[in-house]
Amino acid sequence: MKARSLAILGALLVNACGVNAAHADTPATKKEMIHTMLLQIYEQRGSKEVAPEYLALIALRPTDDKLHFRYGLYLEKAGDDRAVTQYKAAVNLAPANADYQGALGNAYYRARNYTAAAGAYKRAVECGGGAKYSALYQSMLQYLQQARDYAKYQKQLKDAE
Amino acid sequence: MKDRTIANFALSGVSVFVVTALTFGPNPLPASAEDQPDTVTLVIHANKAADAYNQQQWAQAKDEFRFCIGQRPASMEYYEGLYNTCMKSGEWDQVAYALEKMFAIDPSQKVAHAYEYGQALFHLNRFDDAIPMLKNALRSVDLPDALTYIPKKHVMPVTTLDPEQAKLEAARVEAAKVAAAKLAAEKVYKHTDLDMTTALSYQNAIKSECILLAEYQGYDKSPDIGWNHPPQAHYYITEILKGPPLNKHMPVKYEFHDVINPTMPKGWKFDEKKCMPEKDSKWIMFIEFAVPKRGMFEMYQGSYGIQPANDDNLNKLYALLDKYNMRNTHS
Repeated sequence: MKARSLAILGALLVNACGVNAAHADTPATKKEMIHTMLLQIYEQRGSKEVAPEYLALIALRPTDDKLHFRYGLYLEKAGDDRAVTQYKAAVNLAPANADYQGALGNAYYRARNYTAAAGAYKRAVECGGGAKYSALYQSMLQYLQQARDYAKYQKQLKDAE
Repeated sequence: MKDRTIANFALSGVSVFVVTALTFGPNPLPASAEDQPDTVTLVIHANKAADAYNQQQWAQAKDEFRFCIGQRPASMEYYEGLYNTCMKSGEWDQVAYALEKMFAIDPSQKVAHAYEYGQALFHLNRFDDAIPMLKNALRSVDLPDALTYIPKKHVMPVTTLDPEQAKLEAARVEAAKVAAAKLAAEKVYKHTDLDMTTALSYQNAIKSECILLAEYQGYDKSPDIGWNHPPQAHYYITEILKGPPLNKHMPVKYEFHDVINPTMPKGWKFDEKKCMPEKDSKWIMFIEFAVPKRGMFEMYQGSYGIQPANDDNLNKLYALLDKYNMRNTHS
């Protein structure tokens, strides 16, 4: 009986130390999981509650660049100018990511901030996104040149009058 | 809850002696739904389940817990074991099933397990049910976690009380039941889940451990066959849609009525032609627990568990299995 007690005591100690924590999540992990699941459901349904879920997740994981980027994509798709803020946050956290820089460029472009868009496209190309963003960068440079020429022409017309 | 307490104790090395003491101590007198003492068979399987769980052999642990549930369907602890095991193995339909049973036994469990239930519903694509559950879970995330190990039962017979003590004990249990009933009446519970677990519908039948397609082969003839003495019928499994692999030749307890409507119709008499199916006819079989009892598999809710495998029924079944991600990958 004593030997059996010792054997089971040993087994219990092993179990107590080698805890399998597959679903023994911490409260913080649980919160993240819950918001992630809710976000996935709402995204699938195209619900308006997507934004609060993103914000809740960002509050829990403020340094997650992918999360900022995904939220930025969502806002951009919804035509919300706040996409720029999220892309900026993603770029600050991972400056060498060409897709983040390119997405920031697109958001600036939609907000008609062409100079900033050209800068972001340039950085995207420098970060290895040449194949995707060099054409956009070139066309943005051309557009800026045309805008400058047009402004110059307008000024000359005004001076001639 | 007792198990959970023990598990929590076990997490600190200091309290291991407390665990040991509880493991070897006398069997506490059961209250509420677990009134009967455990049989030796049950204890053996419960210990096998605990061993398998603690050794992370999820498939075996699941089978053992399912066996125990089959033996003691009103006992919370085996559903809790099944739920813990299937959480680890990611069998979400089993998690949802076990939790729903636990909630039916003790509605207060719904708060403690909102997170796990919400997670299971999410993985089963039951989003409408998952959303409120996950929102509730956000309010209770700080509660303790699920079991990290399952303590074994001791194979010690329950001490028999002398007649006087037994009377006192019976009075105590009765008083506890009355108090519990009074408490339950004071609380306002939603009984939708409880109702759902007993309703005769495919929605509930698909929660069975095993769902398969089979052909009727025949039955064992006996003069004792009656409304409440079903014969043993023989089916040949053609496809297992959900659940573990089984022998193709399946003995089935062929009930003549479902569990909800057990009253015998006036003038009913066993007639092979009227009461038994045609040979080689195709059927959908819902087996709540894929463990034979006395050499026969029992169907979900009695006769309801055997449904004709016609196009309408199959379409309905496939739609539900796909909706909740329940189909075996190879089927």
